[in-house]
Amino acid sequence: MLARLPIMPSLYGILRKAAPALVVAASIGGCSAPHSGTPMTSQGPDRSPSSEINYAGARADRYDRAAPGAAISRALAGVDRATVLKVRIAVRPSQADSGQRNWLYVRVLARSLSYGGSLYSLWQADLVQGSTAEQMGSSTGNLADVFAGIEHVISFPNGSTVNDAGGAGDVVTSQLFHSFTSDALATAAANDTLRDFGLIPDQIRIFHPLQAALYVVAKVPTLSKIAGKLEILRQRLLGNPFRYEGIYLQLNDDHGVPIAREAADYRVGAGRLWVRHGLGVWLGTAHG
Amino acid sequence: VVSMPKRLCGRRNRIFKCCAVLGAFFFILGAAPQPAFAVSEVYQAGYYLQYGCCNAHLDGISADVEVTNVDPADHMCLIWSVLGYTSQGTANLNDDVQLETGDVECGIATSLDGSCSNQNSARIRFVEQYHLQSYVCFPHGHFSIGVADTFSVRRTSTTTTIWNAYIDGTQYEGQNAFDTDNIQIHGWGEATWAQGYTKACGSNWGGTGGLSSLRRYNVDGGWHDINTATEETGCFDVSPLTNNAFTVWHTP
Repeated sequence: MLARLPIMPSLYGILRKAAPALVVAASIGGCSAPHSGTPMTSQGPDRSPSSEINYAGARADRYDRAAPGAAISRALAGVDRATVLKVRIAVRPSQADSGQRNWLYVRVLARSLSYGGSLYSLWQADLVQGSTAEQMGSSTGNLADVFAGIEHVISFPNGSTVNDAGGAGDVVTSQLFHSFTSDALATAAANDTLRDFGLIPDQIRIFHPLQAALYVVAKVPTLSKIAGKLEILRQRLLGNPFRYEGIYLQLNDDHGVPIAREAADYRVGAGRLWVRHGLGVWLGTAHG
Repeated sequence: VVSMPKRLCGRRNRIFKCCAVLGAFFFILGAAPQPAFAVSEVYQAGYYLQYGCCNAHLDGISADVEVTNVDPADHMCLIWSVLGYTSQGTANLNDDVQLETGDVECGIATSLDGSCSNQNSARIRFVEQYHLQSYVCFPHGHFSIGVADTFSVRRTSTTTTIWNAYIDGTQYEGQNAFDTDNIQIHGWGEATWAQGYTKACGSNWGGTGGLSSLRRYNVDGGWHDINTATEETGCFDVSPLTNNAFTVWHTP
């Protein structure tokens, strides 16, 4: 599996909106040539103004606009740098001559694929994408329009890589999440919520890709504690209106082995879900 | 309990006590919520084709999807969609991939994968990828009751393992690692619960969606109407596949 992904021709160009002939190669973290593996995704043109989602329910006047390099730097300062290895923005080489828009390339590190092990790494990639797009986008546009496509590469300690599909939902720019006034308050609130559900908090962290993003790992003493409640727990942690631009929730069994991981970035519109095989509905998750 | 081996129950005068304890244990085990192993996580009803069906590779599927009413219960999502799926068998579940696109509305207490149809039972057009045993959903605007959108997933060349999703002709997310041969394509309605395991179909929800212009894609041969396919049933009612169209519905 890891070795058989082929080199891909580009597939998406004909549907792309004619874009400014902006050619930016902002490279952070020593990234060299654009990854030549599988192109993953792209977003299309001509969305109606009402098509974007506002998860936060509120909008900021505007976030500071930034050039690509500065936008990436700010995003990286607020995420897990041990996981996000390289980020760069560039026109795909195969389309440079046609003046296509930029792609976002993110390389992340994952320890393994077991038990949904890539999910945290891809969430970190989502955080970088959402923050970077927000800083580069217009104040009234659609964040999905900032990049022509997204490409994730997951690296493993043994040197192997896996390409994974990126994407970008139709999300409004300038969402203003109703975060706590301090990380300490956010951590205490998450701690209380976990205990309300009978869970044992293990790790709680607050990342700041732009606004706050919540990272939670908790132990489930007995599976019956969480039966049917995973989605409800996620909603409680998020708050209403949403307090966080991103959330990562991992539940481990009493041996420390993951049974479920949920991750979302609400500037990207990406909701990710891994559940130990056979436990999906029992835990209370919905997927297609 | 009656056939319990003697060694588990010890001496004769302890048999009653021992077996009672073991009986209680197994009773509790049976009564406690159990993982839904070997039970479908969602109800899915519609039609599908799989490799070998059509004297041609299955390289995609398309349908015009029109939802005419949708009323999910609080803890469930209702979906009308098309998808492509490939499995390499159970040896490595990380190899299974899927790409799905369609309409979804979830009840107020849940969402699809955490990002689609989150708030106020939003009616969302979505693309969902499945890879590395994980789902990820992206919202792409809203759908309207009684208005059809064209959803499709397909590959664009025989040399690629990537399938892309399209909504009304606009390309959205893709998914790599599709097999060439071992492909299934589905057009269906789905009801997926997020509040624990249940076998019950339930009567507190309803919805109707029609899939028309149902077509399969072959890179070399183009689009072909689907008028013969295997029906899959579960919870919903499904109309016959006629003039490459059918309806999937559930009445409260």
